[in-house]
Amino acid sequence: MLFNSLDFAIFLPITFILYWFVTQQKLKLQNLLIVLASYLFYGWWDWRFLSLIIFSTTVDYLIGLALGKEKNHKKRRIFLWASILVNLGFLGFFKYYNFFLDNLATAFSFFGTEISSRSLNIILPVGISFYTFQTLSYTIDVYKKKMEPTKDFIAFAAFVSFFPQLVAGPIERATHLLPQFYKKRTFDQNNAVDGLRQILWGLFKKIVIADNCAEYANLIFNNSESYSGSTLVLGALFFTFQIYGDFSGYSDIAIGTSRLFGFDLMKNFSFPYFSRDMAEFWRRWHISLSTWFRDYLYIPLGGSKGGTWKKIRNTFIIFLVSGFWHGANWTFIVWGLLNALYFLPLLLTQQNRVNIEVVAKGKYLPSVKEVLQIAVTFVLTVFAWIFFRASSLSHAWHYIMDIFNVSVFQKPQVLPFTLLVLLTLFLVIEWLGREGEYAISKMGLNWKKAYRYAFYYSLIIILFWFGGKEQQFIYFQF
Amino acid sequence: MKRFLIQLTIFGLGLLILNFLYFLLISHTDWDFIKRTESLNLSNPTFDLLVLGNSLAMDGIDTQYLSKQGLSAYNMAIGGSSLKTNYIQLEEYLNRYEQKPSYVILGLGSYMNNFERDDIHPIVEYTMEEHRYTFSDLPFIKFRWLGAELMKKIVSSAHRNATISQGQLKFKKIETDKTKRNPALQLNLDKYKSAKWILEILELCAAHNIQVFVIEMPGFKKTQNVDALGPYTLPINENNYRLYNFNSQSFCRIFDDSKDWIGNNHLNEIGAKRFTKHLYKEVLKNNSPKKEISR
Repeated sequence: MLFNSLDFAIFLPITFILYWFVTQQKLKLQNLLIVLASYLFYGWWDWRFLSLIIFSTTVDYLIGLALGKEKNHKKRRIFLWASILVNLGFLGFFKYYNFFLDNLATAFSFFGTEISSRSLNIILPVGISFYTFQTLSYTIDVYKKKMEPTKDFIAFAAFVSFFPQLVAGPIERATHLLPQFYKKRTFDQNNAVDGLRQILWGLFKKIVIADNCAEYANLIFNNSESYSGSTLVLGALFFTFQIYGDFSGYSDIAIGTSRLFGFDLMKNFSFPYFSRDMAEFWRRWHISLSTWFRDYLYIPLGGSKGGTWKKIRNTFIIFLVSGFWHGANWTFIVWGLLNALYFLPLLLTQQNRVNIEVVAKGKYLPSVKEVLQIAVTFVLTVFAWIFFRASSLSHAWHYIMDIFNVSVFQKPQVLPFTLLVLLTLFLVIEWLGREGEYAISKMGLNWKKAYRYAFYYSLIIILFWFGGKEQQFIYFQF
Repeated sequence: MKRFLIQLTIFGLGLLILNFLYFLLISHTDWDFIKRTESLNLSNPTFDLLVLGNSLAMDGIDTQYLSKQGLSAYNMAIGGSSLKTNYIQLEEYLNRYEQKPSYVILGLGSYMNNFERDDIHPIVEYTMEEHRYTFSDLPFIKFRWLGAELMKKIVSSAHRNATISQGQLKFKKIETDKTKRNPALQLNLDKYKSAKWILEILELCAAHNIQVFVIEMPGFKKTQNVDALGPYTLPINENNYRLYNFNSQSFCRIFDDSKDWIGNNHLNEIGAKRFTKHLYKEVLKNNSPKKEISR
């Protein structure tokens, strides 16, 4: 069920009431309810998906126990690889089987040999890219002895399937989330209210910004050959805000919902479009995934240690894998490659950790230099997003070529005034709230209750009046 | 927890109150709502002619002009209506009021409307007698698009500058038709032949001895077709009906591109009057078909 659906609007309060009243805050019952609610949430899409997640949970639980008991290093490696193979095997099959088959056939035909390839009609289980990485973090951390394996199957199942973040993250680390299932949760009023505020802001980003931008991004990208250069630029910008609103909005709703149940999830987005360089962008965009790759792939490969060649190799590996993680299409790989090319110069010149603090901290306005830095980084990001959104490399290429002609100076053929006003309002709020956990985390806290409620009501009214046509969350397809 | 739930309840009640206030506001300011309320509360109407359709007909057929010609008329068309909605409106009218009309004009636009839609216009559905109210009928949800319309009215005088007269929405705004005619565009008769809700309306009218005129409303030049005005006799199941093609390129030369339109194929007050004069002359005055074209 989608977060912005009536089904979820009914599911959430019922689960909330059962959780805090019926379980009477008993730990085992709380965890069991989380598991049942999460399986119901997940099975709502397709009950067949449940078998996969239950299997994956069981395998990693047993492997975790085995890793805890086994002292022999070689055998421990075998257990770890078993977990990696099972998890990535499922992911590889469901997500990449047809891609590899088609490309294999293409490669053979390039050399003059035709091979028959039968693509399978495979349904991609929702969230598989997210929960497999989450369970892998458990087995890897147990292997590395960063944490003890759990003997509590229910707690582990709750950790794997926790419904707020199951289908689109944040990808939680076992060391951060699993221990929260060992402690009884007690209701915290401030945390719950803050959670609701974050849900509200997440819904605004998704329904008002992302869904409205999606309408125009889809219109322009799907008919790109009919539009002028300036319109294509707008199309790329709309997609840029669509993907941000969609994904970060989902994360906000996930984090806010978790807070209602007494859980703390990691921050997944930290105002990435205000970044001053690409290294900063990647510290602020999809933080849970980029840190996962850093800790479980980049650092084991040697990270930034070793010679220049190793740094270059590792950087490319990380970004290409990250691109590939998003989907079985060459466009994602090229997107990853572009980001690697953006990042590499900063790494090699040791400029990748220059902009750590939020831009213009404590100030209302950025400096001229910061504006330029943000603008350049933003343009690079938008350019890369064209590949991410395009249906094929050829489409992306033509899209870009069609931008760079004289029609880029014409008035855009599509100019939705209302959406541009909403985007401006959105950016102003994001800018003003950039030092908080989420844009409105500190907004109105010192106001009188009446004004605060008026602010919430205004956001809700905007949600209803200016919400776009319902669109699937983009990251569900990953 | 108790305090949290109480605060949440108070917040929720506030939202319900806002919903109610919103409903009051839109029911008194939205043109479609005003028309709908009016059509449900007519006092012993004795109209000879009813106009049904969507916004093309709502704006484009001047019922005040028709009344002055001796045909007492009321425009029941509502913007965004499906044919199913038109059927429901007609059925309600016939059940509610004693005096039945002699004529119904069904003003449609095959170039921009889907005749197969099975939805009922939210305003009509909300005010139907047998309608059962659910959560999705909360005004913020049910009439969400009217919030944006309300904002447009607050911000733009062009959106405010309209009146309702015998059901017709008269706009003063002018937007020039800058589009070009397509010399190969034909009238989509298949759409009319297969529209099941046109059949339903015809059968309902036949049961009450009401004569129906189905008309293709005029639109911008880019939508105008090369076919003749007609009428066309179209078979639908075992019945026939007459279709008048007022979106014919030859007919539409009566319009002044720079004066008669408000935009998006809709006629303004001036254009509607001009069109209705010809509509009356061609269809209603003699009330007998000229040389019919069978398709």
